[in-house]
Amino acid sequence: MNVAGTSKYFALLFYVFSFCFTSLKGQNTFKLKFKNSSVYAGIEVGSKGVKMSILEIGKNAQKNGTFNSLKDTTVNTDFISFNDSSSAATLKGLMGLYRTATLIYKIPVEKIFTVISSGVKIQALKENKMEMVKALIDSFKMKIGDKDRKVEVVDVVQEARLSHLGIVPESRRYNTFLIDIGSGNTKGGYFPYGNTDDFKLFQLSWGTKSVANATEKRLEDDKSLTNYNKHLQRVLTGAENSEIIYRVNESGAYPMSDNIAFSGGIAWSVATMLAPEMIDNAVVPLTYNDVAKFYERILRNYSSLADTAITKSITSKDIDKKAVAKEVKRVNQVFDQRALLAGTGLLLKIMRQFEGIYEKKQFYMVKNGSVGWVSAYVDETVVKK
Amino acid sequence: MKETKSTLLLLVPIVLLLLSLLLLFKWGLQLNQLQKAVQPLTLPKKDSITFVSALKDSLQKIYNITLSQLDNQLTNALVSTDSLATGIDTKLSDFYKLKNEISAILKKPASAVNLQLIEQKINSLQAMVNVLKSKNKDMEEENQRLNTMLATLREDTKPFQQNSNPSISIAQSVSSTAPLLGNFTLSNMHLSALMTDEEKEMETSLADLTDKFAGSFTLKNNSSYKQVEIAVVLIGPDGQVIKNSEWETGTFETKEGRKIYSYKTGFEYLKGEIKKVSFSLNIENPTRGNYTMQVYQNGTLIGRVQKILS
Repeated sequence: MNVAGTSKYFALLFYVFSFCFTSLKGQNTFKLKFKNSSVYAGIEVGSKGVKMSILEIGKNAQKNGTFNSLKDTTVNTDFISFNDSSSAATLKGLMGLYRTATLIYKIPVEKIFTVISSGVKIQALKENKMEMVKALIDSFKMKIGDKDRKVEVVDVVQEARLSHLGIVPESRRYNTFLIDIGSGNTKGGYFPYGNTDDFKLFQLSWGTKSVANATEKRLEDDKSLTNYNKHLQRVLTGAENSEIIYRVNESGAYPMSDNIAFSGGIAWSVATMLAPEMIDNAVVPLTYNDVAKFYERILRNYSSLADTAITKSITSKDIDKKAVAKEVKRVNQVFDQRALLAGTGLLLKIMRQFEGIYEKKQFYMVKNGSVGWVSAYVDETVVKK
Repeated sequence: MKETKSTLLLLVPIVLLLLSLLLLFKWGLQLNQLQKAVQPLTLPKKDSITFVSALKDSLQKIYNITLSQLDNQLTNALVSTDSLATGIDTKLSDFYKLKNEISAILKKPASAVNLQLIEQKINSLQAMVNVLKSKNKDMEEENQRLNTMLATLREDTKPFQQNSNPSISIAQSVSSTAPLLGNFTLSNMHLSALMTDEEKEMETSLADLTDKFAGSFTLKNNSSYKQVEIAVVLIGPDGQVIKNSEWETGTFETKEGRKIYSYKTGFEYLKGEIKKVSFSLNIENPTRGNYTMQVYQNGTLIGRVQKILS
């Protein structure tokens, strides 16, 4: 064997060993939480990129809302630019994540779900680019050699409905209003008639980022936090008076719901920082006053939200402080002080609509809301077959 | 013959007459004896008035003593109700009144001054000062007495509180510690591990067979509360809190910091009401070891029980 042959042989050997090692590692990485559970993957092509969520779903997931987020991976591709490079990047990202799920994590193909998000559909319809969406789907099917693969383009109602089904347990399905506060908008809804076919959609044109942007625009020369807070309150009051009050009333959710559940980045942030003891819990119950105090804390005592300060405040020895510190650090990386104020402010304005004098609603913050749809998808496409 | 007959007729009336006289005499004698026997029962008029009068006096005396005792009790009660303020105030006002009188007399021209009267008044003032001193001493003593009484009451309450802790009826495999002090009396505290077999629930002590935990306890208090919050924390052998579902848990504040609850309930409580609380918690993959159930009332630990699963 010559030198080139020997090096090729060793390269092949190295590749085989590496693949076997990563495969084994992948399989062993998941620390499962439930008895009789299965691992599923959901790959979603969103406006800004492709996201893969690997979930452990318990046998009673729909009954108890028990699913466990094992891994989240995102590839930024900016698909809604709808140009050749963004389409190519999106296809590459979609393929890469699919292969990772099948080859590295060893998830059977029938347990991998692929969807195109409602945000992409809305933008594609607006720009008349649905053929690019179709082209992406066809290319993907061809590349993976599975022409029967289902790649559903979900609309906003479907997405909100699936999230509700996946996140909210069966016992609370018909008395819970789920609101997902996104970066650019807010959407959610509830099941008003005691069946899962009829879903009442709720939408707001305000999200965490849009509130922060509108505030920043008003600041002019005074960039101080005090001025930011003053203008933030004005933006939020405007949003409340012009849209939030009307939309909540129009939804008819107040008399129909006992529980108001919030998902999205800001719900995850508030829950992580306000209840660090519940690091392992995907859902955290909080009150309007808890969140109002939290807003004041962000404004006046921001240093108390550092990972070191939060872990120091935990008295129980049984809480994994390292995990808490890691998660709090993540929150602080995603949201800075001003973004946290904007998101919490918007959350408070929505919560206020449900804070009656006599009738109190129970508020919940859902941390892993963005992957809830996978659980519902499993139920609708696999379990019910 | 005629002569004998007339003699007999004469003799019979004479005998009858003598017999009558004898009877009359005896009757007179008996009457006399009877009168003598009745005589001591009849009181002479003067003695009977003295007796009635003495009786009346003794009753009056008892009545007066009783009345006086009641008066004293009432006075004591009135004095003790405000002895630390009214009594002193009265004495002080008397003291100042007397002092003013003396000053007024002394301000009069010397000729008009009645030295005897001044001496009398000064003596009264001196006596009043002594009374005030004595009252002050009494006040201090009363204060001391009340403090001692309070300390004794505190001491007495301790064993009562310990004794008032109920006996916990527990299953064989359950070991318990005495419930800690709290506002509510907690009793009948139970924690059972249950297995489900053909939709029937049975108690078990084996971890592998356990599907859920069932807990119950009874609460009682001698006060009414508008809002009572009871939180139950069930801790597994690994130190983790056992929860029914992620939607049925949360945190609550305690003296030791924020804790996660397994079960929480709130209610309005009426004085003396016996409130039974029961709950069940599903468990996935239970491990062998000690399971501890803690009951908190408004953040204060009021009871604890353990169950061992093998």
